[in-house]
Amino acid sequence: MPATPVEQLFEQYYESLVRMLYRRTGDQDHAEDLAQEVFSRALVTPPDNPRPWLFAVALNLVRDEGRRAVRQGRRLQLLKGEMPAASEPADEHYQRDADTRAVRAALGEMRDLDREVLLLKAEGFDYDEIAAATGLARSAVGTTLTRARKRLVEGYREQEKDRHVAS
Amino acid sequence: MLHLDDGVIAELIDGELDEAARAAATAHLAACAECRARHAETLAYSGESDRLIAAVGLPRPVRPFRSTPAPAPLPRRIPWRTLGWAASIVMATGIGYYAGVPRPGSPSGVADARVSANQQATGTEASRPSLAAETEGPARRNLPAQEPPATPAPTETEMPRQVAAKHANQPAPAQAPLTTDALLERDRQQPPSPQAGAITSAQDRSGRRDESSELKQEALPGDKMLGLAAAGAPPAGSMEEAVTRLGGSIRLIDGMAPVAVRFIASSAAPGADAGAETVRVVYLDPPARELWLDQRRIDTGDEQAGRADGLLVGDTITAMLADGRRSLRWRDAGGFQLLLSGFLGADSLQVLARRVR
Repeated sequence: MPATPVEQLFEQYYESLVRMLYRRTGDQDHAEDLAQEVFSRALVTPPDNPRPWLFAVALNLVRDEGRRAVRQGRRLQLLKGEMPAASEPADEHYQRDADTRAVRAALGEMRDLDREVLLLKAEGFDYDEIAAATGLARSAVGTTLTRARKRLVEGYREQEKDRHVAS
Repeated sequence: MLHLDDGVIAELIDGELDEAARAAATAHLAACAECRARHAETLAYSGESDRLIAAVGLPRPVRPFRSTPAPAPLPRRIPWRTLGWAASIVMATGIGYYAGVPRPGSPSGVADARVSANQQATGTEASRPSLAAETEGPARRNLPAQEPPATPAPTETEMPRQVAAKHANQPAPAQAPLTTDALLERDRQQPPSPQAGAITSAQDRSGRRDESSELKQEALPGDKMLGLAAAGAPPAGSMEEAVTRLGGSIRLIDGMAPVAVRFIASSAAPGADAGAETVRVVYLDPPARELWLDQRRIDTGDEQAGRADGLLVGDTITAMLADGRRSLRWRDAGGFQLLLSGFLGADSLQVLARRVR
């Protein structure tokens, strides 16, 4: 398969990649930084099967980013607040924020593989692409997804229960 | 009865089964209440997890990779490498010319060279013998006309004549032939004007304007360098070394006078890549805080550079550094990776970056 120009890959996958990385890291600036790193690597080594490759590299970077940041010692804090979010009523904002934190907490308690399979599926990956990006056998993707979905929902319910008890 | 496993149920829900497998699974579900219950449970978890993940959306729109226009790359920089080659060629030509001029012990050659120059100026081929006779002196004139010299000595007469014809518009040496040392001494005493010299001669011979000569006349960074040397700090040698290390050219902020040039290791340069030495041109902003223009040359095919910075021409990254400086990082079309940093606002950095030449 001929390599796709990186600019085209960028147009197609950048936002999706940032979204997946944000769900994984909880920091949009950091997610964008990592996504740019992924595309810089694609520039050096254009992938044949780009989407699984891009997301696999991104997930590897997330795993390694802590060590890499220490080694390079030059972690940049990208400017925040360039594009203000649309305003919304305070109570809706609070509820949405609380939900987001509960989901993120539930995701944080999952195993890496379960979480990654789930996040890739949320970005529209089919089973073949998930297998390619994670190294799983295709026949194991469905089972892993079923387990991951159940753990996410149950973990979220636990978070919700704790939140209501606390309040 | 064999039941459907979790993987098949998930594939059925996600539409990953082929036609035959899907028909078989559907038929099994119709006949098996236990599998129907598991299917319903899996479907519920799937829907709920999709909803939860979708709730974790990006808090703001993704910042475009090319969020700001890149500083316009301008080709106005001194092509040191080109000028170096031109100077080498001219020097070699000059040395070759003066090496071919006879030494003081061979007056006939000098006379012929001067004669050729005069002939070229007058365009009279027929007058050559008489002019030659006037310049050769009485000893040569007394030779019988029917007795040519035993050896025509082409090395002493023809070579200077050919070269002199090329330089017919230059005054012939009045007395002794110029040696290389004499030529250098003359240049020291009478430095060539910008319009004179090697490149101008090349233009005259070819009848075409040389691009390198036009660029030489602009000499923007060179002017800054001279101004810098006159101001006393830093020494011009530092700037020259920086130019050398950067492969023959350097980026400067147009309209601002640098106060220092530093060579810093990659570990000390914010945003620099490992293994690359960075040249830092230092300016002062109005409150006399340092404004840094860090730069290094990269090869567009440099795998390490491409992997490390991920910047394309036209990309910019604005960042807040750990020491409170704000930085703007970009790559220009000339193969420079640049990072402008200082205690300035983003807009000010953008304005200054557009003035980087």
